[in-house]
Amino acid sequence: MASTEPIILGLEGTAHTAGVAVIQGPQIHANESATYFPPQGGIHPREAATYLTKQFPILLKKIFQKLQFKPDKIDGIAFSQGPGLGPCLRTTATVARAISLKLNKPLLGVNHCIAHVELGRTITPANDPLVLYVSGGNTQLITFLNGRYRVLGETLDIAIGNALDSLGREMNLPHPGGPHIEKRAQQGKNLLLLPYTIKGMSFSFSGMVTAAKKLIANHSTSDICYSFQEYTFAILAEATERALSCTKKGSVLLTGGVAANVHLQNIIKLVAKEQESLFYVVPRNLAGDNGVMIAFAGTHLLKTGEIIPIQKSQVKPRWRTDQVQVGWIS
Amino acid sequence: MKLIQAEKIAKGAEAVIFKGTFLQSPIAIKHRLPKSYRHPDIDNRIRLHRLRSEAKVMTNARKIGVSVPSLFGVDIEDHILIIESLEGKLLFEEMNSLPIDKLDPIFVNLGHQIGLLHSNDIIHGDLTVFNVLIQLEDKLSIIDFGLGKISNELEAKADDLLTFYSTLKAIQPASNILFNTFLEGYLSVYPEGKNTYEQMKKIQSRARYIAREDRLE
Repeated sequence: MASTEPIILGLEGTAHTAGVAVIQGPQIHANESATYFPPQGGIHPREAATYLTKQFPILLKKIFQKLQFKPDKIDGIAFSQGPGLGPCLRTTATVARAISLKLNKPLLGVNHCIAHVELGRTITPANDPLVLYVSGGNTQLITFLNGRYRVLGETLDIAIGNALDSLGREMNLPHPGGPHIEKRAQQGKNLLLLPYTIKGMSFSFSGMVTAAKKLIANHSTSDICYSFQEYTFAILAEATERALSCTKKGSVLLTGGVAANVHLQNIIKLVAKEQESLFYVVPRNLAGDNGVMIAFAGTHLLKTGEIIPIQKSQVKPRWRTDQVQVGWIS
Repeated sequence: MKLIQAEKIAKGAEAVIFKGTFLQSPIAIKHRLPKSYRHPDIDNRIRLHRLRSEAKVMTNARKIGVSVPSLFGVDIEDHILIIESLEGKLLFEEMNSLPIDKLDPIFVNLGHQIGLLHSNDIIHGDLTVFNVLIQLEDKLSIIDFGLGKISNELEAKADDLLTFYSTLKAIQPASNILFNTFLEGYLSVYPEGKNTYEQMKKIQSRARYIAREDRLE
């Protein structure tokens, strides 16, 4: 192990995914995750938390078996401190505290949204991009400005992934709906009329879901999927282009679970081209929630000395992206 | 002799901008080109709709005495607007260079102008510090009505305030004071605006993860 980079254990658990990873610099030593799929309906916070409680010991065991070195070589324990579902966050924090005490290693509280950004900055060439972060729980346009990650635009109600899942459920597609809608949309031919809501660089999707649900009785599932993607992605694209044009960042990074959608990738690629900017996207296997991103962000926290004592490691369910002091970028 | 002479100067998010002269007056030509990233049907619908609203909103705003560029011409077929070209610095740039006491009169005046717009049911649609042009001291113009519309809906007006508040917040953390100054100006010409402000807080509370200290009381 020639690298002088610290070895970080990352624990992700903000909603339906339990993720554990060990990284060193940009190198991933081990990465395991398990995702909760509700038997019906959406995610119930308590049931998701119960699932995490069961999964963490299994995942940790797998991780420690895979490592080529002893756990005491780990330099820091990073965990998703927020934002997210309270019960899930508390479960994850409990696991993190226990490991931190057992190994006697510093605890690092990571902001989940920023972790998605740092993942992109670590494994793609993006350095100071405009970030379009799209997932089941969040949809934000983020960029670094004056010491913090600023949210230039965001959803005013529900996240894009949540919108896709909710429409998918209504059409009896399995959870999560996003990938199924993407697949069905490829067979869609007719563009149905839906509202187009954009407010500067912000947007809202719940009205569009309602409008799309009303189409179910009279139109094919594939046409609805196709139209819903065309409209919502056009809105995200337009907001992204506006933010690129305002900030003149010169590059776009697409991250978060919905970044795995190839159609969205192609659209944002075209936006980048319109603004003569570079386009980056996180790899598919790391687009959704995972421990790697938490560990990458945790590395920065360890280096800038932002270690939290256990007494101050309460979870932050409403922790916003722009509340974090970013000491690792100058 | 050519009536219009112009050259391309910028590519915005909405349109390509040319600057030049029309009968010796400085003009800007705003050409909304098709966007490759959206379905042609959505694209055509949006571009035509916005061109029409923008022309209408600018004309109405000028009539009630709000400082906006004058409209010289509209070409519906080619999605082109010909408007007066104004000199000045973006409020965004001024916020980075001016001390806060110099910003105060600007924000009061901006509040006046927006209050005037809203009392006449004119919505800007993209009210940010990138769309306010500072000309002299506190003299300012409001530009880019590309997402503008005529509406008496409380929600639409509240969206204007929230968009402004959010972008202000994004570039300057201590922006609550400036927003309050803006609000004073706004309410002084548009007393009903207190309902707009209440609605803005309602919309804000629908969003995800609003920190307690960011919630407007």
